[in-house]
Amino acid sequence: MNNKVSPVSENGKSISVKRALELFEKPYDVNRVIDFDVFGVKNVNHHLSVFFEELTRKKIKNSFSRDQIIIQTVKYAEELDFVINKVFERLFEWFGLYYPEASLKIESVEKFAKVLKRGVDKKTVSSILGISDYSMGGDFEEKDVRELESNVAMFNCLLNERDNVKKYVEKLMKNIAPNTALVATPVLGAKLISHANGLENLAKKPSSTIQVMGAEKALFRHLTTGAKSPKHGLLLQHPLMNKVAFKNRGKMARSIANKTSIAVKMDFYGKKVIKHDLLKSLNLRAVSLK
Amino acid sequence: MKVKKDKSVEGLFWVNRKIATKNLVKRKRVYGEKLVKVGKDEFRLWDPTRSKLGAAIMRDCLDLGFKSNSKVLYLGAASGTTVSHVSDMLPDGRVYALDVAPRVVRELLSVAEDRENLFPLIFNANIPNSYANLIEDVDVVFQDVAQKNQVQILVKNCDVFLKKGGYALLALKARSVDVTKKPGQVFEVARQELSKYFKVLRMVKLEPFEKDHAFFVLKKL
Repeated sequence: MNNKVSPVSENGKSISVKRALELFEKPYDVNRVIDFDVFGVKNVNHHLSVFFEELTRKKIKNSFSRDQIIIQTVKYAEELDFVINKVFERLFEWFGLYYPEASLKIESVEKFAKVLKRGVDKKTVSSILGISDYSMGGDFEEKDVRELESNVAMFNCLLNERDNVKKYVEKLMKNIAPNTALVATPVLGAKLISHANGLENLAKKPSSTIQVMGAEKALFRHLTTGAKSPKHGLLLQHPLMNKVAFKNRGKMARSIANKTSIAVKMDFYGKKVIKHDLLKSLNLRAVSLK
Repeated sequence: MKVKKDKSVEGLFWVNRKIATKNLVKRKRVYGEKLVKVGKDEFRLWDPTRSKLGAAIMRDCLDLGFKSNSKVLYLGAASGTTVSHVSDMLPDGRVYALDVAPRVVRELLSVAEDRENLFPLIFNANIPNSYANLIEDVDVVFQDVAQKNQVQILVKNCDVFLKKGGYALLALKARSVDVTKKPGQVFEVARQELSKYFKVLRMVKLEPFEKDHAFFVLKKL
């Protein structure tokens, strides 16, 4: 297909599709005379569509960059969190029907998964928790218990998956955006990249935008009705935000946004050398805002 | 099933008071629309709530400059919902469908593979010079990009590609020009700006099909 005559001519000579695609992959160059001159030929539309489709396919291929994997992974992690919470709520109710005394002692996701790992029948659970297996719960038949057990095993798989995904995000971030991972923590940095839809887009954003990312509703309410402006969006998840006084959160968010913005720009435009000064100055700022 | 040809728009049909176009690729849906078979021909019903051009037609914008051999530059093609109908309307014409985002062009490409008169392109409509050598002069420029500088983008592109006396169609989204202003105000500002470069033939609001959108039919002087 690539040897067919293309609808393009270079300096007056018609060239192959392959050569034409090579020319158009590069940025536009005024000095090269590239012309379309097959409009007299039969089946013009066919020639053109072959050419444009191949060009577009190449462009789609070239548009891939590794930060798109970060975006998908971090979104996957967020959805896993959502699913895990939903499944936990349901299994907790289900288990409470069978053994309410035990369920009162394992109300968090981690405890629930840890205790029920070895089995859900009353004997196993009561020996782990150290309580009596005399219960006001309903009498489940053997097959009901087995069903619940297999569902809990599935739930444990989901928890493992969540850990794996988090580790993968951290690895990707350290590889692709090491400074961002250092300043904003890997997961939050990944969330910022996903919110801006790419490392390049995030690097082009001013730090004031990074500060309120994730608080769009409050921001636009502020712009349209004149309500108070938001202090922080996603940045609230930064570990340093918990270390400063409540009234200073806005200031801290601004500092984090400033340093994150510098870090992202270093990662995208620079040589990915890790700079520790950024985090140091952030820590100092957190101390002064206590 | 009653099928009537539209009097003013070539290639447009009315099927039971709904708009439709003759399907170029038989038995193939693009976005889950209804297919209606009448005799030998097959028609695709045009959903005005999913297409701003369809909405404009339903709001009586019928002088659009489309002929069966028109060349059209379509800015903001996305996944090809409206573009597929435009391509249906111009069996002997050419549609250059342009979008910036590779994600949506993936879907547009699969539509274009079936249609010989539809050409997908990935370029930024802000910089017409970057694709100026790929596209011939056109009869109609359609623009639906939902950007802050929508009007300027249209003006720039029409400057490069639109023939004299050609039509420019603009679907203006007030909320992406300025969220804080009232839509009516935004439309009025846009109309004044556009009248510097074009003759404004029509301006309609697309309610109830589309919220806070206006559709402009313009003619290059």
